[in-house]
Amino acid sequence: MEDKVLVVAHDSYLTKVVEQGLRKRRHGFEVLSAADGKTAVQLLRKETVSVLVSDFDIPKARDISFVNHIVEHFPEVGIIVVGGLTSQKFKKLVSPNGAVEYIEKPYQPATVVAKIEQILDRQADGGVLHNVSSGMFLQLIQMEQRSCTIRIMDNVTRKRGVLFFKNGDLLDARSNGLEGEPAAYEIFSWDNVSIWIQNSCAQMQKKIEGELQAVLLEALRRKDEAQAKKTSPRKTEEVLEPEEVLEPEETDETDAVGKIRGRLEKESGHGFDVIDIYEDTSWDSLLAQASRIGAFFGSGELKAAYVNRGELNDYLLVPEEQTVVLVVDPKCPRDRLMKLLAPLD
Amino acid sequence: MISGFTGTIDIMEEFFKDILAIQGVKGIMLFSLDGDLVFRHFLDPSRFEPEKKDWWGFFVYSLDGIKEAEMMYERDRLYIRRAQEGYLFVLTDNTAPMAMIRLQCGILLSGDQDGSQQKGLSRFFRTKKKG
Repeated sequence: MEDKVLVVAHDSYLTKVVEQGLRKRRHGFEVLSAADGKTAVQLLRKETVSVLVSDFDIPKARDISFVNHIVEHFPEVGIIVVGGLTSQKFKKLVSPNGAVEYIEKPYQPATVVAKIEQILDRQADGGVLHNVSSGMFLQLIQMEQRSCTIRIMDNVTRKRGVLFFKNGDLLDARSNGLEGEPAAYEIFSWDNVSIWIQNSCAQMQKKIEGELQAVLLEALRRKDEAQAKKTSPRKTEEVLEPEEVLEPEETDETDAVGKIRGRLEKESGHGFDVIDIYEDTSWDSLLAQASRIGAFFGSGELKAAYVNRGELNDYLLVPEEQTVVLVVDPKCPRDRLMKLLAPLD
Repeated sequence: MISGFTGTIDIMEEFFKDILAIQGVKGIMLFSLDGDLVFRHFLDPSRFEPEKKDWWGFFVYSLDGIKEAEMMYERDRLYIRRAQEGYLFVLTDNTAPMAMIRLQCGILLSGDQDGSQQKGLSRFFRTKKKG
Protein backbone atom coordinates (compact mmCIF):
# COMPACT_ATOMS: atom_id res chain seq x y z
CA MET A 1 0.00 0.00 0.00
CA GLU A 2 1.24 3.47 -0.77
CA ASP A 3 1.58 5.04 2.67
CA LYS A 4 0.81 8.72 2.92
CA VAL A 5 2.78 10.88 5.32
CA LEU A 6 1.48 14.37 5.98
CA VAL A 7 3.95 17.01 7.15
CA VAL A 8 2.53 20.12 8.83
CA ALA A 9 5.13 22.87 8.96
CA HIS A 10 5.47 26.53 8.08
CA ASP A 11 8.46 25.88 5.83
CA SER A 12 9.50 23.07 3.52
CA TYR A 13 12.56 21.86 5.49
CA LEU A 14 10.82 19.09 7.42
CA THR A 15 8.96 17.95 4.30
CA LYS A 16 12.30 17.58 2.48
CA VAL A 17 13.80 15.71 5.44
CA VAL A 18 10.93 13.23 5.46
CA GLU A 19 10.80 12.85 1.68
CA GLN A 20 14.53 12.32 1.20
CA GLY A 21 14.87 10.11 4.26
CA LEU A 22 12.00 7.82 3.35
CA ARG A 23 13.05 7.55 -0.28
CA LYS A 24 16.35 5.95 0.80
CA ARG A 25 14.66 3.35 2.97
CA ARG A 26 11.21 2.62 1.66
CA HIS A 27 9.21 2.11 -1.52
CA GLY A 28 5.61 3.13 -2.04
CA PHE A 29 4.96 6.25 -0.06
CA GLU A 30 3.74 9.75 -0.72
CA VAL A 31 4.58 12.86 1.30
CA LEU A 32 1.86 15.49 1.54
CA SER A 33 2.42 18.88 3.12
CA ALA A 34 0.29 21.52 4.78
CA ALA A 35 1.37 24.92 6.06
CA ASP A 36 -1.18 25.03 8.86
CA GLY A 37 -3.58 22.95 10.90
CA LYS A 38 -6.67 23.92 8.98
CA THR A 39 -5.20 22.81 5.64
CA ALA A 40 -3.97 19.63 7.33
CA VAL A 41 -7.48 18.76 8.54
CA GLN A 42 -8.90 19.41 5.07
CA LEU A 43 -6.29 17.04 3.62
CA LEU A 44 -6.99 14.41 6.28
CA ARG A 45 -10.65 14.45 5.34
CA LYS A 46 -9.82 13.78 1.69
CA GLU A 47 -6.85 11.42 1.97
CA THR A 48 -6.22 8.34 4.05
CA VAL A 49 -3.04 9.39 5.81
CA SER A 50 -0.90 6.94 7.78
CA VAL A 51 1.39 9.32 9.68
CA LEU A 52 1.26 13.03 10.47
CA VAL A 53 4.45 14.89 11.38
CA SER A 54 3.92 18.33 12.85
CA ASP A 55 6.51 20.96 13.61
CA PHE A 56 5.80 23.41 16.44
CA ASP A 57 8.53 25.79 17.54
CA ILE A 58 6.52 27.39 20.31
CA PRO A 59 3.18 25.62 20.54
CA LYS A 60 0.17 27.87 20.93
CA ALA A 61 -3.26 26.95 22.25
CA ARG A 62 -4.43 26.26 18.71
CA ASP A 63 -1.53 23.84 18.09
CA ILE A 64 -2.42 21.87 21.20
CA SER A 65 -6.06 21.71 20.26
CA PHE A 66 -5.07 20.83 16.67
CA VAL A 67 -3.18 17.76 17.87
CA ASN A 68 -6.01 16.80 20.22
CA HIS A 69 -8.45 17.22 17.32
CA ILE A 70 -6.42 14.80 15.19
CA VAL A 71 -6.19 12.27 18.04
CA GLU A 72 -9.94 12.45 18.54
CA HIS A 73 -11.17 12.60 14.95
CA PHE A 74 -8.48 10.68 13.04
CA PRO A 75 -7.44 7.94 15.47
CA GLU A 76 -5.98 5.86 12.64
CA VAL A 77 -3.27 8.45 12.00
CA GLY A 78 0.06 8.07 13.77
CA ILE A 79 1.25 11.44 15.09
CA ILE A 80 4.76 12.74 15.55
CA VAL A 81 5.33 16.18 17.07
CA VAL A 82 8.69 17.79 16.42
CA GLY A 83 9.14 20.58 18.91
CA GLY A 84 11.52 22.91 20.69
CA LEU A 85 12.01 23.15 24.41
CA THR A 86 8.28 23.24 24.91
CA SER A 87 7.57 19.76 23.67
CA GLN A 88 7.61 18.44 27.27
CA LYS A 89 4.85 20.93 28.02
CA PHE A 90 3.11 19.70 24.89
CA LYS A 91 3.45 16.12 26.10
CA LYS A 92 1.51 16.95 29.24
CA LEU A 93 -1.21 18.84 27.44
CA VAL A 94 -2.07 16.45 24.66
CA SER A 95 -2.98 12.85 24.36
CA PRO A 96 -2.64 11.25 27.79
CA ASN A 97 -2.99 7.79 26.21
CA GLY A 98 0.37 8.07 24.47
CA ALA A 99 -0.97 8.34 20.94
CA VAL A 100 1.57 11.06 20.10
CA GLU A 101 5.29 10.55 19.61
CA TYR A 102 7.72 13.41 20.36
CA ILE A 103 11.03 14.42 18.90
CA GLU A 104 12.98 17.18 20.62
CA LYS A 105 14.74 19.85 18.60
CA PRO A 106 17.49 19.87 17.49
CA TYR A 107 16.97 16.51 15.84
CA GLN A 108 18.75 14.24 13.40
CA PRO A 109 16.78 13.76 10.14
CA ALA A 110 17.30 10.01 10.56
CA THR A 111 15.45 10.11 13.90
CA VAL A 112 12.31 11.48 12.25
CA VAL A 113 12.45 8.91 9.46
CA ALA A 114 13.06 6.04 11.90
CA LYS A 115 10.07 7.13 13.99
CA ILE A 116 7.84 7.25 10.89
CA GLU A 117 8.99 3.76 9.94
CA GLN A 118 8.28 2.47 13.45
CA ILE A 119 4.71 3.78 13.21
CA LEU A 120 4.21 2.38 9.70
CA ASP A 121 5.49 -1.03 10.83
CA ARG A 122 3.23 -0.94 13.89
CA GLN A 123 0.25 -0.23 11.63
CA ALA A 124 0.72 -3.66 10.06
CA ASP A 125 1.99 -5.59 13.08
CA GLY A 126 -0.91 -8.06 12.82
CA GLY A 127 -0.04 -9.06 9.29
CA VAL A 128 -0.89 -8.24 5.69
CA LEU A 129 -3.29 -10.03 3.36
CA HIS A 130 -3.59 -9.47 -0.37
CA ASN A 131 -6.41 -10.22 -2.80
CA VAL A 132 -9.08 -11.22 -0.31
CA SER A 133 -12.79 -10.53 -0.04
CA SER A 134 -13.45 -7.92 2.66
CA GLY A 135 -16.78 -9.34 3.86
CA MET A 136 -15.50 -12.85 4.61
CA PHE A 137 -12.39 -11.64 6.37
CA LEU A 138 -14.20 -9.09 8.53
CA GLN A 139 -16.72 -11.66 9.69
CA LEU A 140 -13.78 -13.75 10.90
CA ILE A 141 -12.59 -10.78 12.96
CA GLN A 142 -16.03 -10.55 14.50
CA MET A 143 -16.09 -14.27 15.27
CA GLU A 144 -12.65 -14.13 16.89
CA GLN A 145 -13.75 -11.03 18.86
CA ARG A 146 -10.55 -9.24 17.96
CA SER A 147 -9.62 -5.64 18.76
CA CYS A 148 -7.75 -4.20 15.83
CA THR A 149 -7.46 -1.43 13.28
CA ILE A 150 -7.86 -2.65 9.71
CA ARG A 151 -6.38 -0.57 6.91
CA ILE A 152 -7.87 -1.70 3.66
CA MET A 153 -7.29 -0.90 -0.02
CA ASP A 154 -9.53 -1.66 -2.97
CA ASN A 155 -7.21 -3.31 -5.47
CA VAL A 156 -9.33 -2.08 -8.40
CA THR A 157 -9.74 1.63 -7.65
CA ARG A 158 -6.79 1.98 -5.17
CA LYS A 159 -9.20 3.69 -2.77
CA ARG A 160 -8.33 3.24 0.89
CA GLY A 161 -10.22 3.02 4.12
CA VAL A 162 -9.91 2.17 7.80
CA LEU A 163 -12.10 0.03 10.08
CA PHE A 164 -11.95 -0.06 13.87
CA PHE A 165 -12.90 -3.22 15.77
CA LYS A 166 -13.17 -3.61 19.56
CA ASN A 167 -13.71 -7.18 20.71
CA GLY A 168 -15.10 -8.04 17.29
CA ASP A 169 -17.53 -5.11 17.34
CA LEU A 170 -17.28 -2.70 14.40
CA LEU A 171 -16.96 0.75 16.05
CA ASP A 172 -16.19 3.11 13.18
CA ALA A 173 -14.97 3.39 9.60
CA ARG A 174 -13.24 6.05 7.47
CA SER A 175 -12.90 6.22 3.74
CA ASN A 176 -12.33 9.07 1.30
CA GLY A 177 -13.87 11.79 3.46
CA LEU A 178 -16.69 9.54 4.73
CA GLU A 179 -17.08 8.46 8.33
CA GLY A 180 -19.16 5.91 10.19
CA GLU A 181 -21.76 3.87 8.35
CA PRO A 182 -21.42 5.60 4.93
CA ALA A 183 -17.68 4.79 4.99
CA ALA A 184 -18.39 1.18 6.00
CA TYR A 185 -20.87 0.81 3.13
CA GLU A 186 -18.25 2.02 0.68
CA ILE A 187 -15.51 -0.25 2.04
CA PHE A 188 -17.77 -3.32 2.10
CA SER A 189 -18.64 -2.77 -1.55
CA TRP A 190 -15.05 -3.55 -2.54
CA ASP A 191 -14.63 -7.10 -3.86
CA ASN A 192 -10.91 -7.52 -4.05
CA VAL A 193 -8.91 -5.88 -1.30
CA SER A 194 -5.56 -5.83 0.45
CA ILE A 195 -5.66 -5.66 4.23
CA TRP A 196 -3.15 -4.42 6.81
CA ILE A 197 -3.92 -5.41 10.40
CA GLN A 198 -2.83 -3.41 13.44
CA ASN A 199 -3.25 -5.31 16.70
CA SER A 200 -4.72 -2.36 18.59
CA CYS A 201 -7.69 -0.06 18.27
CA ALA A 202 -7.28 3.61 19.15
CA GLN A 203 -10.94 4.39 18.51
CA MET A 204 -12.98 4.30 21.71
CA GLN A 205 -16.40 5.53 20.64
CA LYS A 206 -18.92 3.39 18.80
CA LYS A 207 -20.06 5.39 15.80
CA ILE A 208 -21.65 2.57 13.81
CA GLU A 209 -24.93 1.49 15.30
CA GLY A 210 -25.75 -1.76 13.54
CA GLU A 211 -24.14 -5.20 13.82
CA LEU A 212 -21.42 -6.02 11.30
CA GLN A 213 -23.72 -8.50 9.54
CA ALA A 214 -26.43 -5.85 9.08
CA VAL A 215 -23.93 -3.28 7.78
CA LEU A 216 -22.53 -5.84 5.34
CA LEU A 217 -25.98 -6.70 4.04
CA GLU A 218 -26.92 -3.03 3.66
CA ALA A 219 -23.66 -2.42 1.78
CA LEU A 220 -24.48 -5.26 -0.61
CA ARG A 221 -28.00 -3.95 -1.12
CA ARG A 222 -26.66 -0.48 -1.96
CA LYS A 223 -24.07 -1.95 -4.29
CA ASP A 224 -26.72 -3.95 -6.13
CA GLU A 225 -28.93 -0.89 -6.36
CA ALA A 226 -26.08 1.21 -7.77
CA GLN A 227 -25.22 -1.48 -10.31
CA ALA A 228 -28.87 -1.82 -11.35
CA LYS A 229 -29.00 1.94 -11.97
CA LYS A 230 -25.87 1.76 -14.09
CA THR A 231 -27.04 -1.17 -16.19
CA SER A 232 -30.72 -0.21 -16.61
CA PRO A 233 -31.34 0.43 -20.33
CA ARG A 234 -31.58 4.13 -21.11
CA LYS A 235 -34.35 5.28 -23.35
CA THR A 236 -33.06 5.98 -26.81
CA GLU A 237 -34.07 9.07 -28.71
CA GLU A 238 -35.93 6.95 -31.28
CA VAL A 239 -38.41 5.61 -28.77
CA LEU A 240 -38.93 8.87 -26.95
CA GLU A 241 -42.04 10.87 -27.62
CA PRO A 242 -41.25 14.51 -28.51
CA GLU A 243 -42.72 15.66 -25.17
CA GLU A 244 -40.45 13.27 -23.30
CA VAL A 245 -37.36 14.66 -24.96
CA LEU A 246 -38.28 18.12 -23.67
CA GLU A 247 -38.80 16.86 -20.11
CA PRO A 248 -36.11 18.17 -17.77
CA GLU A 249 -33.53 15.54 -16.86
CA GLU A 250 -33.86 13.95 -13.47
CA THR A 251 -31.32 15.59 -11.16
CA ASP A 252 -28.99 13.79 -8.76
CA GLU A 253 -30.56 15.71 -5.91
CA THR A 254 -30.25 13.80 -2.65
CA ASP A 255 -33.08 13.19 -0.20
CA ALA A 256 -31.75 15.79 2.24
CA VAL A 257 -31.50 18.52 -0.41
CA GLY A 258 -34.90 17.61 -1.84
CA LYS A 259 -36.48 17.66 1.62
CA ILE A 260 -35.11 21.15 2.36
CA ARG A 261 -36.06 22.48 -1.06
CA GLY A 262 -39.57 21.10 -0.56
CA ARG A 263 -39.87 22.73 2.87
CA LEU A 264 -38.78 26.09 1.48
CA GLU A 265 -41.19 25.95 -1.44
CA LYS A 266 -44.07 24.85 0.74
CA GLU A 267 -43.51 27.70 3.17
CA SER A 268 -42.81 30.56 0.82
CA GLY A 269 -43.60 29.42 -2.69
CA HIS A 270 -40.46 31.08 -4.00
CA GLY A 271 -37.56 29.92 -1.86
CA PHE A 272 -36.58 32.93 0.32
CA ASP A 273 -33.71 34.32 -1.80
CA VAL A 274 -31.98 30.94 -1.75
CA ILE A 275 -29.51 30.95 -4.62
CA ASP A 276 -28.33 27.35 -4.48
CA ILE A 277 -28.65 24.21 -2.36
CA TYR A 278 -26.12 21.41 -2.33
CA GLU A 279 -24.28 18.98 -0.07
CA ASP A 280 -20.74 19.84 0.95
CA THR A 281 -18.65 17.79 3.37
CA SER A 282 -16.04 20.54 3.75
CA TRP A 283 -18.25 22.16 6.41
CA ASP A 284 -18.62 18.93 8.43
CA SER A 285 -15.63 19.63 10.65
CA LEU A 286 -16.84 23.12 11.63
CA LEU A 287 -20.31 21.78 12.41
CA ALA A 288 -18.89 18.85 14.38
CA GLN A 289 -16.97 21.32 16.54
CA ALA A 290 -20.03 23.55 16.90
CA SER A 291 -21.99 20.47 18.04
CA ARG A 292 -19.38 19.80 20.69
CA ILE A 293 -19.77 23.39 21.94
CA GLY A 294 -23.54 22.87 22.09
CA ALA A 295 -23.02 19.72 24.16
CA PHE A 296 -20.67 21.60 26.48
CA PHE A 297 -23.27 24.31 27.14
CA GLY A 298 -26.13 21.81 27.37
CA SER A 299 -27.76 23.60 24.43
CA GLY A 300 -29.00 20.45 22.72
CA GLU A 301 -28.55 19.35 19.16
CA LEU A 302 -27.16 21.73 16.55
CA LYS A 303 -30.02 22.51 14.19
CA ALA A 304 -28.57 25.04 11.76
CA ALA A 305 -25.74 27.50 11.34
CA TYR A 306 -25.45 30.79 9.48
CA VAL A 307 -22.08 31.86 8.13
CA ASN A 308 -21.04 35.23 6.76
CA ARG A 309 -17.57 35.30 5.22
CA GLY A 310 -17.87 38.81 3.88
CA GLU A 311 -18.47 37.43 0.39
CA LEU A 312 -21.21 38.28 -2.05
CA ASN A 313 -23.40 35.54 -0.56
CA ASP A 314 -23.80 34.01 2.89
CA TYR A 315 -24.25 30.34 3.77
CA LEU A 316 -26.86 28.55 5.78
CA LEU A 317 -25.71 25.13 6.92
CA VAL A 318 -27.99 22.29 7.93
CA PRO A 319 -26.37 19.28 9.61
CA GLU A 320 -27.54 16.15 7.82
CA GLU A 321 -25.63 12.97 7.01
CA GLN A 322 -23.58 15.33 4.83
CA THR A 323 -23.88 19.05 5.52
CA VAL A 324 -26.51 20.69 3.32
CA VAL A 325 -25.45 24.19 2.26
CA LEU A 326 -27.90 26.88 1.23
CA VAL A 327 -26.29 29.81 -0.55
CA VAL A 328 -28.33 32.86 0.40
CA ASP A 329 -28.48 36.56 -0.20
CA PRO A 330 -27.09 38.45 2.85
CA LYS A 331 -30.37 40.37 2.93
CA CYS A 332 -32.45 37.21 3.29
CA PRO A 333 -34.75 36.87 6.34
CA ARG A 334 -32.11 35.00 8.32
CA ASP A 335 -34.12 34.30 11.47
CA ARG A 336 -37.17 33.08 9.56
CA LEU A 337 -35.07 30.85 7.36
CA MET A 338 -33.19 29.32 10.30
CA LYS A 339 -36.39 28.65 12.19
CA LEU A 340 -37.96 27.13 9.11
CA LEU A 341 -35.02 24.83 8.43
CA ALA A 342 -34.51 23.90 12.05
CA PRO A 343 -37.96 23.54 13.55
CA LEU A 344 -37.58 23.23 17.30
CA ASP A 345 -39.32 20.36 19.00
CA MET B 1 -5.93 29.76 31.40
CA ILE B 2 -7.30 33.19 30.58
CA SER B 3 -4.35 34.82 28.88
CA GLY B 4 -3.54 37.84 26.78
CA PHE B 5 -5.91 39.92 28.85
CA THR B 6 -4.86 43.50 29.52
CA GLY B 7 -7.92 45.03 31.14
CA THR B 8 -9.52 44.41 34.48
CA ILE B 9 -12.62 42.23 34.74
CA ASP B 10 -14.63 45.29 35.82
CA ILE B 11 -13.73 47.24 32.69
CA MET B 12 -14.60 44.26 30.51
CA GLU B 13 -17.94 43.75 32.21
CA GLU B 14 -18.69 47.44 31.81
CA PHE B 15 -17.75 47.22 28.15
CA PHE B 16 -20.11 44.30 27.53
CA LYS B 17 -22.89 45.40 29.89
CA ASP B 18 -25.28 46.44 27.09
CA ILE B 19 -25.07 42.99 25.53
CA LEU B 20 -25.26 41.19 28.85
CA ALA B 21 -28.39 43.18 29.71
CA ILE B 22 -30.31 41.94 26.67
CA GLN B 23 -33.02 39.48 27.54
CA GLY B 24 -31.98 35.87 26.94
CA VAL B 25 -28.21 36.48 26.90
CA LYS B 26 -26.46 33.84 29.02
CA GLY B 27 -22.86 34.88 28.65
CA ILE B 28 -19.97 36.21 26.61
CA MET B 29 -16.55 34.87 25.72
CA LEU B 30 -13.73 36.66 23.96
CA PHE B 31 -10.99 34.67 22.23
CA SER B 32 -7.75 35.85 20.64
CA LEU B 33 -7.05 34.77 17.07
CA ASP B 34 -4.61 32.22 18.53
CA GLY B 35 -7.50 30.60 20.34
CA ASP B 36 -6.68 31.84 23.85
CA LEU B 37 -9.65 32.69 26.04
CA VAL B 38 -9.21 36.36 26.90
CA PHE B 39 -12.40 37.03 28.81
CA ARG B 40 -15.57 35.25 29.80
CA HIS B 41 -18.62 36.27 31.74
CA PHE B 42 -21.64 34.07 32.33
CA LEU B 43 -24.74 35.08 34.20
CA ASP B 44 -24.51 31.70 35.94
CA PRO B 45 -20.72 31.50 36.39
CA SER B 46 -20.75 28.23 38.31
CA ARG B 47 -22.28 26.39 35.36
CA PHE B 48 -19.67 26.87 32.67
CA GLU B 49 -15.90 26.74 32.86
CA PRO B 50 -14.79 26.98 29.22
CA GLU B 51 -11.15 27.48 30.21
CA LYS B 52 -11.08 23.83 31.26
CA LYS B 53 -11.60 22.70 27.67
CA ASP B 54 -8.64 22.66 25.31
CA TRP B 55 -10.53 22.47 22.04
CA TRP B 56 -11.61 26.10 21.77
CA GLY B 57 -8.34 26.99 20.07
CA PHE B 58 -8.97 24.71 17.15
CA PHE B 59 -12.54 25.86 16.81
CA VAL B 60 -11.38 29.48 16.68
CA TYR B 61 -8.75 28.46 14.17
CA SER B 62 -11.46 26.82 12.03
CA LEU B 63 -13.37 30.08 11.96
CA ASP B 64 -10.62 31.58 9.82
CA GLY B 65 -12.21 33.70 7.11
CA ILE B 66 -15.59 33.84 8.84
CA LYS B 67 -16.76 37.31 9.80
CA GLU B 68 -19.94 36.33 11.54
CA ALA B 69 -21.62 33.04 12.41
CA GLU B 70 -24.69 31.98 14.24
CA MET B 71 -25.22 28.48 15.59
CA MET B 72 -28.79 27.50 16.35
CA TYR B 73 -29.23 24.67 18.86
CA GLU B 74 -32.34 23.06 20.28
CA ARG B 75 -32.35 25.36 23.29
CA ASP B 76 -29.70 28.04 22.70
CA ARG B 77 -27.95 30.14 20.13
CA LEU B 78 -24.31 31.01 19.83
CA TYR B 79 -23.54 34.23 17.98
CA ILE B 80 -19.93 34.64 16.85
CA ARG B 81 -18.51 37.88 15.58
CA ARG B 82 -15.01 38.48 14.27
CA ALA B 83 -13.17 41.44 15.79
CA GLN B 84 -9.86 42.82 14.59
CA GLU B 85 -7.82 40.72 17.04
CA GLY B 86 -10.16 37.97 18.07
CA TYR B 87 -13.62 36.49 18.14
CA LEU B 88 -16.54 37.49 20.34
CA PHE B 89 -18.95 34.69 21.32
CA VAL B 90 -22.39 35.51 22.72
CA LEU B 91 -24.43 32.62 24.15
CA THR B 92 -28.16 33.19 24.35
CA ASP B 93 -31.31 31.20 24.80
CA ASN B 94 -33.77 30.87 21.92
CA THR B 95 -35.90 33.78 23.09
CA ALA B 96 -33.14 36.38 22.73
CA PRO B 97 -33.67 39.11 20.12
CA MET B 98 -30.86 38.21 17.76
CA ALA B 99 -31.20 41.34 15.65
CA MET B 100 -30.57 43.43 18.78
CA ILE B 101 -27.53 41.34 19.69
CA ARG B 102 -26.09 41.68 16.19
CA LEU B 103 -26.62 45.41 16.37
CA GLN B 104 -24.98 45.76 19.80
CA CYS B 105 -21.99 43.71 18.67
CA GLY B 106 -21.75 45.91 15.60
CA ILE B 107 -21.68 49.01 17.80
CA LEU B 108 -19.02 47.54 20.10
CA LEU B 109 -16.83 46.49 17.23
CA SER B 110 -17.16 49.74 15.34
CA GLY B 111 -14.28 51.06 17.48
CA ASP B 112 -12.08 48.35 15.98
CA GLN B 113 -13.06 49.22 12.45
CA ASP B 114 -12.27 52.93 12.72
CA GLY B 115 -8.78 52.01 13.98
CA SER B 116 -9.27 53.55 17.39
CA GLN B 117 -7.43 51.28 19.82
CA GLN B 118 -9.06 52.98 22.77
CA LYS B 119 -12.63 52.43 21.64
CA GLY B 120 -12.93 48.89 20.30
CA LEU B 121 -12.06 45.45 21.56
CA SER B 122 -8.43 45.85 20.46
CA ARG B 123 -7.57 47.57 23.72
CA PHE B 124 -8.16 44.31 25.57
CA PHE B 125 -5.52 42.39 23.67
CA ARG B 126 -1.82 42.56 24.31
CA THR B 127 -0.02 44.26 21.47
CA LYS B 128 3.31 42.89 20.29
CA LYS B 129 6.19 45.27 20.93
CA LYS B 130 8.31 46.06 17.90
CA GLY B 131 12.05 45.48 17.97
